[in-house]
Amino acid sequence: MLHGHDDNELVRLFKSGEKKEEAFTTIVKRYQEKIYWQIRRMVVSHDDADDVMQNVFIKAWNGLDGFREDAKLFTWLFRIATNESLTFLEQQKKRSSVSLDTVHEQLEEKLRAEKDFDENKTVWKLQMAILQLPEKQRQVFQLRYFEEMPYEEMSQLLETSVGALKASYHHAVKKIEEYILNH
Amino acid sequence: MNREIHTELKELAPGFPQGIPEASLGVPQDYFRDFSERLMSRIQAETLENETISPILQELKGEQPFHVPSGYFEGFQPRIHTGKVVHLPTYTRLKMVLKYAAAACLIGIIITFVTLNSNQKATGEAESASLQTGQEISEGAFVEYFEDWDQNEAEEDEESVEKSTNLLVDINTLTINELLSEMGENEIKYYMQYAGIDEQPALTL
Repeated sequence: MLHGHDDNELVRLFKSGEKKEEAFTTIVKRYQEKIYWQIRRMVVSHDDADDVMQNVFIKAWNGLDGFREDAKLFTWLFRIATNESLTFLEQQKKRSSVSLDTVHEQLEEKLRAEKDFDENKTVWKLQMAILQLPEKQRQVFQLRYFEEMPYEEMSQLLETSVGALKASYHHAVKKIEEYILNH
Repeated sequence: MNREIHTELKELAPGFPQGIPEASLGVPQDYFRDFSERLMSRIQAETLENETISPILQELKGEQPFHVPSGYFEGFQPRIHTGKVVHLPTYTRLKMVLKYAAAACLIGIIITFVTLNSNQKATGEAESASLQTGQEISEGAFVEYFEDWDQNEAEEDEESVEKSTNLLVDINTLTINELLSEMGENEIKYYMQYAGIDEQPALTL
């Protein structure tokens, strides 16, 4: 393992082919949890998150040779994860148009299937409330509320203006507050 | 929680429950420890599959033959923002004009066809209307008409005969003598023989 190397060095080693697999494994271990939780919050189920995460890193393996290093490596991985999560949910939507279930209902079911789920506890009410939000707004809320990410960093990650992100977060907070107070 | 985010939340939604931790979503034991290994096994398997199916394709993977002008990507964003007007080349403009002209011709042909078709239809309708009128006149009516026609014709003949007869009656004796005096004796005899009249009736003047 190449833990002592920074991201740029790992990318260089990968591209040169010198220690390609070792460099990539180091990158995976460095960012897997952050990427996992980002995905898991979107898709809820662990099995779905695992599928999406594998797709993310396979895309990273295939695309790292062309990575131009104009953005941080984590930002690049995060964008892939966001796109893959949204694609996954979009595919779920298409499938659900056949079965008449909405994606939100399916995600709620997955949440209820969690081991310690208790709809009377505020912590789970919050999760249910978050699921009512549109996907992108959900993402903004989770990054700000749980990850405590500054708007400037979020702006680079999501390629959205700081103003739009603030507005999105404010709307999300209001909706969640209303849900928790009414349930 | 970060102070700034805490303050922001309080201002936005005073009723929002504070300090809620993230729900503990279950993750299988040793998931993260084993993930990279599972991932690399999958990548190796897919790479081997590609190499087996087509070594040439695997070799060419990632190679991009297309040429991109130097500095293109660096300059791409600013070009979009300046809203530069791009003028269509003459050929492209001509192509557009020709397209519209062709469409106009087609529309004209269609309108002409439809107009002609509707005129023919109108004429045809008139003819068929008259035919229909004829068909609607009963046989009896025809017979009656021709009977009347005959009657009229006969009446006309009688009239004309009467007229001509009246004409003859109107010619007086004096006129006849005047006519006869203009004819010679031999001419009269010839006429009488021709007409089968043996004796000349005495004309009383």
